Amino acid sequence: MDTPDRPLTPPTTENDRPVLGPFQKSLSKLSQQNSIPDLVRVAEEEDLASDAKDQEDANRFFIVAPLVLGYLILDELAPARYALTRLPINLLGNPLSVSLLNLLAATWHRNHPHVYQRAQELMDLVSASSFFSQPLATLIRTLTEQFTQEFRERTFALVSRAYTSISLSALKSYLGDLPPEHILSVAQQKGWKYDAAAQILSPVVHAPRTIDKSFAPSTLDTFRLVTTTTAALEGAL
Amino acid sequence: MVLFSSGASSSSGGAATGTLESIVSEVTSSTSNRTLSNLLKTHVTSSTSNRTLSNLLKTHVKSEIGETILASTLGGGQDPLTVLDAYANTLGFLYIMTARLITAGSAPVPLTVIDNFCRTFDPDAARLAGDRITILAKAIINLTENQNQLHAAILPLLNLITRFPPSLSYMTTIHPHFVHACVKTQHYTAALPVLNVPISEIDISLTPLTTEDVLKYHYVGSLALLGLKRFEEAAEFLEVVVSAPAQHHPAAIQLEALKKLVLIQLILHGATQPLPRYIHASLYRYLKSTAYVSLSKAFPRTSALNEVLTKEQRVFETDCNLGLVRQVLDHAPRWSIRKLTATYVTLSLEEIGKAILIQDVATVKNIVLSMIEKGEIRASLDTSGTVTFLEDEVTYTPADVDRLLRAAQAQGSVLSEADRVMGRSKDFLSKAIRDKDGHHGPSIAEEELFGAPGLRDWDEGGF
Repeated sequence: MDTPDRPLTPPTTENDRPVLGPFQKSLSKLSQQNSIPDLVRVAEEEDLASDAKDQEDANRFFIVAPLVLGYLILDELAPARYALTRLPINLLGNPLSVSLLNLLAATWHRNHPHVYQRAQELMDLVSASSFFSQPLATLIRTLTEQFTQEFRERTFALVSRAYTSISLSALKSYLGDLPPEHILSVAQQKGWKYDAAAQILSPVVHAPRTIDKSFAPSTLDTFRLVTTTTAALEGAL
Repeated sequence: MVLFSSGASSSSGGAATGTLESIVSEVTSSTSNRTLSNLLKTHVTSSTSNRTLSNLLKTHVKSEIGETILASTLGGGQDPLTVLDAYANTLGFLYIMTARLITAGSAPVPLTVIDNFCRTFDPDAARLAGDRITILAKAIINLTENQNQLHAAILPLLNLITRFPPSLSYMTTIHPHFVHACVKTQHYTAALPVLNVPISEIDISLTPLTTEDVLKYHYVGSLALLGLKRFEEAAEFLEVVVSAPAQHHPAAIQLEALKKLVLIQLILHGATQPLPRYIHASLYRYLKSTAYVSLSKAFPRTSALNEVLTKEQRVFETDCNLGLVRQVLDHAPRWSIRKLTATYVTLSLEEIGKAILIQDVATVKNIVLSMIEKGEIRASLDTSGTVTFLEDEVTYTPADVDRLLRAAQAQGSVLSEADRVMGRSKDFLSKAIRDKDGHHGPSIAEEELFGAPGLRDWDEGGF
């Protein structure tokens, strides 16, 4: 990642205050509980409730950064984008905004290797001692790790579905910089076959699901449903 | 202290000295601050039902002078809104607050006071003053826009829209203002709790709704859904706008909605789709002369699409549709690939690339993978870069069928009830009788002239 030209510390407010204390605690708690939809809801409500002055204030990152990462974890990319584009110009150029935008763009384009790289860059940015808030840094790290894990699992599921065979190196690029033995261990746990000589993995082939033709007896509920519907249709004629 | 009591006991509405009527009569003849004090004091001793109070306020205080009095302060400059309780005195609070919001030179109403009112008002009382709620919704937009913080309008309007009508399925005059605030501030997700509930009740006795309100709500609502890439729902909203009845000429917003609908149909279905027969025939004629027809004819051929874009970019820009047109172009290769699945069982990534005019194999692989992820195709890749297209998977179970049947039954009940209500409606019955007696609606000649050719062209996808 390029070294940011701008200082990591955003413009301070007159009091340089951690005014979002209870809100911040609430987000931390929700992220630890992995209640991401709730975290997103709380952050959206807080963003709506902030007044015009707060909208321009660097403390808005306490709302926007978790909100963007929350949406990324849920793979809801359009609202993540708007959470960032709503930022005023003075905050959009901040290295934190730029880093979040880069991560979002890589995820949007499903540029898998870049996603893991951008996530690492974000982690490095907030881990710097000059970053303006340690509590926010902790929250961002937690959520970024959750996102990376979620994205990796989603990608693994997609590769399982989309490939009949894939090389170890290609799979590695999809799953980020994981040690090959770790990837092989996970793949084998999922029942994949591995040809060590050719370094080719073969996901389990799932037979397409078809409608149940076993003629299992209908339940009483189904019978009641069908008779009620038929009676209603006849009544309407 | 009880001011503008919302108690159940009702006043006879008589004109005895000291009653509300006499005081209102007194205050409408004077504009001094003291008169508002008198009005409030009288209410302390007067027990008045909400309905009586609503009627009196409507009758006596609606005039310009009445608004001025309500917009004034109490004796000694005290703010009446600090004396009244938003729940117990909903009607009084609402009238005074809205009078202040629309009367030039009156004391400003802080946004916190409006926000508190929207969270705590008594819905039963407020439903007696739908016109004032409409004024309030408009005023919230104006106030927050003037303060350059339109986003602050969203929560109060959301509270109004969820608490004021009996349910969210009622269309109100608040709806267009609410979605306007959400879209203009890019808080699209904030609109979802409202947009997700289909409108099934139009009650003009609740708020003074106009056709324009309904069209604007659905049009702006579609923009929010488009922003969130919810194309199917956006198409439904636009179809409501396009198919709204128009007496002589369709509204301009309906043509704009049709343009957007064409673009969304290309994204969703790869071609334009037949629209309901009751759409105003003129809309097709207007559309025929636009760049959107050329675009739909070129879809999904990338080079042809690019030619149309180069030639008509200005038009798309002026219509504020350029972003959507670019999304149409992004979807073109996907539709070309979908067409290939109908002919081929296996193809290499290079062959697919040639067909969709993309040389870079990695980009082609990304598109194929993305289509598999979104369920647009069923296919599998292997290490040699061969793509095998698979049959569509049957993904429903008997339990799913039961669930759908149950949903259809519930929807059928709602429609039957709506039909019964419509059948009892005085307006509907008188219109039906008028139509039966005389000629109303388009003649056969008009249908032949406008309706049929337009619809036929649309069905053929050739306009």
